[in-house]
Amino acid sequence: MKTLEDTLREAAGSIRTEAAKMPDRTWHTATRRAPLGVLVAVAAAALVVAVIGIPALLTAGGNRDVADDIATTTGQAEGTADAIPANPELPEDARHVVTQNVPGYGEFTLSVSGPVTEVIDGETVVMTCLHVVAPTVGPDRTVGVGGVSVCGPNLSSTTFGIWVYTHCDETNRSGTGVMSILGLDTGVPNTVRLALDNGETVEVTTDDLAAVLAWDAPHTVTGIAISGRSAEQIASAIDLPLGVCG
Amino acid sequence: VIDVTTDTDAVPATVGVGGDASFDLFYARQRKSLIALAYAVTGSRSGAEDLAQDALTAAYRSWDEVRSKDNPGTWVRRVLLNKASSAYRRRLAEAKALARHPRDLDSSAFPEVTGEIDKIWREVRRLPRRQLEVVALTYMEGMSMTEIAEVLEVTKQTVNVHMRRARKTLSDRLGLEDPA
Repeated sequence: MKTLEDTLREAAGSIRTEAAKMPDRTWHTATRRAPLGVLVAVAAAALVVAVIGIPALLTAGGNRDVADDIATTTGQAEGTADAIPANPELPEDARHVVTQNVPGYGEFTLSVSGPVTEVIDGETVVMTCLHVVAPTVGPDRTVGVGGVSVCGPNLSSTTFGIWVYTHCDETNRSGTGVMSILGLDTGVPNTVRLALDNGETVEVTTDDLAAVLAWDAPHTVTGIAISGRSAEQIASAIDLPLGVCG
Repeated sequence: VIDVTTDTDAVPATVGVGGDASFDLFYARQRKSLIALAYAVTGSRSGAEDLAQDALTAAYRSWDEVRSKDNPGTWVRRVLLNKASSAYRRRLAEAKALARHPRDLDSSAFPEVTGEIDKIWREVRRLPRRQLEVVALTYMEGMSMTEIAEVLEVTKQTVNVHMRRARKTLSDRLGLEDPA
């Protein structure tokens, strides 16, 4: 009778054999998704700027430079934040816009947009996106404003059901912080409590957050509460090498 | 056992967009081993390929820092396992969503990893995350307890505990003897 040791070694060998057959990829394919990520990031940032305005961003993060950067990136001049962005790529159907102070974290802004249709590598992808902008703590432990978009469903794709994009500023701090807060990038669960306009309260883990908001929410979300970790824990989590944006 | 530091895969001709030959070599040496490790913990071929690519992207973006480490291979495996953990959480949401939108999905498993071998890895993936990581690093990478402790940033004793528990569980579930 084979031992557990023999069995595991044999099982590992099978996987290594298969992995060795995988075709070589050229390195530049690693950044294949970046252009769309940038597109969505810019679109989401512009959406928030347009709907909420720079004052809200300043309130949320207290970092005027970051807010100005977003405004510059999206072509929004300061003081015209209420204007509808002219960029035709931007989603025009933002809804469920919620801004709420979350004790321990600061002010969160959530919105949902879409569905939008993109053609990626010849494949039609229909996406509905949840956008979150929140105060974040970066690898350098400074506080700024960051964002993350969780997009789906991606029904015509054979690879992803949900795409997650971070909205990066030049310090690469923004998206990672928000992803950490939402538990999307650290593996540490958070509980998110959503108050709906029909009076119901839905408590979900962050695993379900995108599904609830992007696919299932027939109601306006009127509130959000996040429990789980302190700012220090978030900052600690961001010390992990998670600083990939795109 | 794979020696991840001496894999002699040829460097693809088009590698080098980043213009750093040392990273190109690192990429070529590590990629397939990372895919194997990622497959062991995820069971998805496309997911494993993406995880390996994402981990290498992280290395590329911090290459000046990563290359100065004693063992960049350890660092990139830590990144991969962290990403695998969060990717698993995302896949739970994906699975729920896709269940509401039935469609034909291509199997994402390695074609030759079937039957008994597939069953074994399914059981390994049912283990708690740390136990899964210890088993995968032991058998896919041939790492020692000390090396695994470095990757997971835990003590060697902790690795031993996870391995002992994993072996006990697997032995019971698979009905295999474990004289060790």
